[in-house]
Amino acid sequence: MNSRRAIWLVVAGLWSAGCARAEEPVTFRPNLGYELEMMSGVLWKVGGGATPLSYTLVPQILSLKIPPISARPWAGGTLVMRSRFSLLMEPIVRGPEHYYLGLAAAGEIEWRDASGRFTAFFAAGGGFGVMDSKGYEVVGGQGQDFNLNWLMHCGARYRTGENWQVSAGLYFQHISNKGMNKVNPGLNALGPTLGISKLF
Amino acid sequence: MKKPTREDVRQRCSRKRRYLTQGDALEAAMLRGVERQRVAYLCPICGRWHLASAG
Repeated sequence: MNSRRAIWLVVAGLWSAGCARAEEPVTFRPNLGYELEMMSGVLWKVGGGATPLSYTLVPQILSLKIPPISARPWAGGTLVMRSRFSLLMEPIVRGPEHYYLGLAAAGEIEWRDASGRFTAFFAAGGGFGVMDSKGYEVVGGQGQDFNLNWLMHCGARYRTGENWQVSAGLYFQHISNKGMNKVNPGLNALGPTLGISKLF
Repeated sequence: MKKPTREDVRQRCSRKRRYLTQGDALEAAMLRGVERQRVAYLCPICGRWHLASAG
């Protein structure tokens, strides 16, 4: 058997397995309760007029999502609005500082397909935190320990079981002190995230 | 506050390069290798950022 024929057989096998799975009835209960999500990722400094230094952050984000405040049918699925509250634990593996520890609250809009298995989401919000600022020792570092943050996060979630979901997303985060200190270059960072969440 | 004279404006602002953000100003200083000799400051006249000697 040549290799091209083997590839076609594998593709056909996967396709038929997918069809068989799609025909299985999905009976997930609606996700209308609390949800706890643990997310990990890597963020790299991007431009936008912020610090000229290179930064790499490895955020570990624990989020509590409250039950939806609104759910309405839309585009064959359900459009849901809810809030999430996050603990930001972010080692800085490249850059003059070493960590950022903070809290953030965000509003999240989700579109869930009819089966409840797939969710697309967009979240935006902000908060505050502390870091070991080095702006007076390293030009381009942050000017004070207490900083504000705002974030945007979009991506998709896939429900693997009745109570579990996995997610992949793209996360943008801005950190600065809003001029509370005269040294305030700010930090814009962007990167991918992976997460796992438990539904209650 | 006393209105700055034309010469004040020239000395403190118009003869200097303007940057939109503090980060942009610091980046310009770093590109020229003078980040240790310059500080970025917000100009009260034009509202943009300039670089000045650190000493």
